Amino acid sequence: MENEPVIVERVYNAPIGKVWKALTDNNEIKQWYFQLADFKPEVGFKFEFTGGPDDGPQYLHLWEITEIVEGKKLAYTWRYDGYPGNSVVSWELFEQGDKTLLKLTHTGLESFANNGSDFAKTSFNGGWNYFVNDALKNYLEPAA
Amino acid sequence: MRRDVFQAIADPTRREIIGLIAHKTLNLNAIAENFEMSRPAISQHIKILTECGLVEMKQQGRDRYCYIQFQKLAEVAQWIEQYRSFWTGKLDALALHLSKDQQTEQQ
Repeated sequence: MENEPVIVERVYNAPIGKVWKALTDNNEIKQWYFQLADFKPEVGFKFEFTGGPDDGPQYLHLWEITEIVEGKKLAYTWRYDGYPGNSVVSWELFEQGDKTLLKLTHTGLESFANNGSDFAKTSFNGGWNYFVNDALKNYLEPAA
Repeated sequence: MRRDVFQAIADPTRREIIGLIAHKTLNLNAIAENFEMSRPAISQHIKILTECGLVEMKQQGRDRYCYIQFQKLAEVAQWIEQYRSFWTGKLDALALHLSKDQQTEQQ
């Protein structure tokens, strides 16, 4: 069986430098990704986030940066404290005139399979609910 | 002991076995030929795959053949799909964030 990575691509109507800043500047990361205590775009930098459903178990997510190509690529390992398995998330940017193609690749997900069927659901649901409900709601119903 | 599709795919040898029989129904010997480990070890993996519902064994003459159970395999795809929707949500949020910036600058 193929160990298929999850690949999501998106073209943003923003220059590559701006998208890179949104990925690597903690003030911007807080706006759309995760609330991190600190973030430095350096190989070996470790960061973490505790998340899960409001009424369910909380998971400590552990990340460590494994690759930086300034302005173009950011990769880090993604695993969970106390659970087996390790995965890698990479963000690659490609300049397309004044737009930017972002390619997100998440490999190694099968290594979490041993943690059970509810694992992905419960460890991610908090994030999904926030982004799908709140972020989308804000987008569709701007405060102005 | 837990027996579900996630237990089935947690092991790399079992993932390879699934890959082999997903395309072609094979008997135990034909499967074992693809691996360096012993035939009993392969049999043990296939037993687990059977218990997980991913494989069904059928006797044909002197041979036992392994049939993949595609409905069960779909559960694995659904599991991976959860991660895809997670990332889709994140990338939507990034689009929103970038468009906000753009608007601020234009004002």
